[in-house]
Amino acid sequence: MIKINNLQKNYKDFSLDVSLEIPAGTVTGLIGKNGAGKSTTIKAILGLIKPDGGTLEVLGKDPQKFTSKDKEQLGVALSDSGFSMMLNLEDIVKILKSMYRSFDEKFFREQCKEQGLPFDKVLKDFSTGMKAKLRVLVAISHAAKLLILDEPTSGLDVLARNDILDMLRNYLAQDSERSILISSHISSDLEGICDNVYMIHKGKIILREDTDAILGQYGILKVSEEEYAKLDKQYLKATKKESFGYACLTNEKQFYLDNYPNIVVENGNIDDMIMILLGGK
Amino acid sequence: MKGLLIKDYLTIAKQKKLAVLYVFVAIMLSFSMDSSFIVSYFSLIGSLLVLTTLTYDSFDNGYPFLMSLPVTAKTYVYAKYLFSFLGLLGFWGFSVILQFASLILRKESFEVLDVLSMDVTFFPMFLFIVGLMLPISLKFGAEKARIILIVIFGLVFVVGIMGKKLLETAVKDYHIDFETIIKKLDAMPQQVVALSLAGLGILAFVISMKISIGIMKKKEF
Repeated sequence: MIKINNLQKNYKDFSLDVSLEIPAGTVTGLIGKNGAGKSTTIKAILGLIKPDGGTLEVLGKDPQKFTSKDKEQLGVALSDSGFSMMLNLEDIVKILKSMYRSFDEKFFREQCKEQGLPFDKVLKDFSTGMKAKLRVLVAISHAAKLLILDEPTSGLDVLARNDILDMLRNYLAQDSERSILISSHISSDLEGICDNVYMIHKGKIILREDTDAILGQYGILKVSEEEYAKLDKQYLKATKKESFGYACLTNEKQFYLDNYPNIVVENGNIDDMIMILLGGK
Repeated sequence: MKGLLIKDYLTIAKQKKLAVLYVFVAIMLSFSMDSSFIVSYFSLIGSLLVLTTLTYDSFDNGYPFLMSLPVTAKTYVYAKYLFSFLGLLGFWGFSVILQFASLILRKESFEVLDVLSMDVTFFPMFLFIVGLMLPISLKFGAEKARIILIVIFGLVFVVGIMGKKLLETAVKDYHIDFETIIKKLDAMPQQVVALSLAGLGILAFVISMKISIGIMKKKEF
């Protein structure tokens, strides 16, 4: 679905150099701090910015050469950009109907009702959660092959976030070939839906891993200075100095559980991984 | 493209209250002022309204999402120009009807062809202004475009004054007989002048569209 090879984009104070691949039928998370390069990567995938180098293929085509028809295969939700706030849902239905040949009006209307989105209010009067739900609904209502979602759950409470993740799960359930690229800095969302995760930092991918591996094989060792000195470090991915000694990220949790029965080994999760990878040595 | 036209139409339709006010003012004025005023007034309102759709496109950082929809740089520009042309034509056409209504109600005697050929000159004039504003707005954003337009009009004014002086020198030094040229132009049938102006306006509009496509293709969102 997406193949990116050394995609480069240079700004005055920021450079992006990213490679990633999203096969059909997978959900990929792009995780990183604000300003890490998530949105720039997504904009390049959508053809909104012109890369300075590297190759980029989305649905088998260079996004710069996308036709309107090609773009109909994409479902897009951007965090900071959407329909004019003056419009209401009836207006949006009219626009989408004439934009996408496969727009499913019935589904869209039903989902709007189910999610409690009012048809008579202008978007300006929608709550943050309503706006976020609408953005995702717009993306999933025309049988897109690939969803590109930039921070779809940002700023939402747990319930609204779950509603959105459920919508995405339903979208995926309808066709096994569908793929999603989802960027977020809320790792629990990604753990719940992604097959694999790319971590981006200062414009570069610093880790790619299957979510199952992160949750199953990754672990955090919490060791004192002395324990750290004795530790076999070949399976440590990163280490971070802490007040008690060191927190170490490993992708072979079992090895340390078996060989160092006295040290504390916590299960891996994306948040801890980020903390150690980005704050470690 | 149809979706973009609908979007722009809905954006303008949201300004209904303003539109009612405009029409009310126009009707009031049409009874107190020269009847052709109503045509220029409505064409101006039409130009401003079609240009506001650009402002709405850019509100709340709207462009990245807009350009992620099934829209290319080319279709966006085509739709914007088609909408502007049709919008302007609509406002102009409506004002011409109002003008005739006002002339009839005021029981003034008039020559239909004379009135029409005067009206026809307004259309390309505003088409030209919109054609000037669209690429500037696309390049620099709608807010800056307004300032740039004021600067352009200022420059035109200065160039006009300088041009006048140059012409006066030309008349004095080279004995060019401008009066005869102007008389000849005056003698041309008004319809011919109006139609040539309309042709020029449309040509300028098409050139402006080509420039806008270039701007949009280069633009990053």
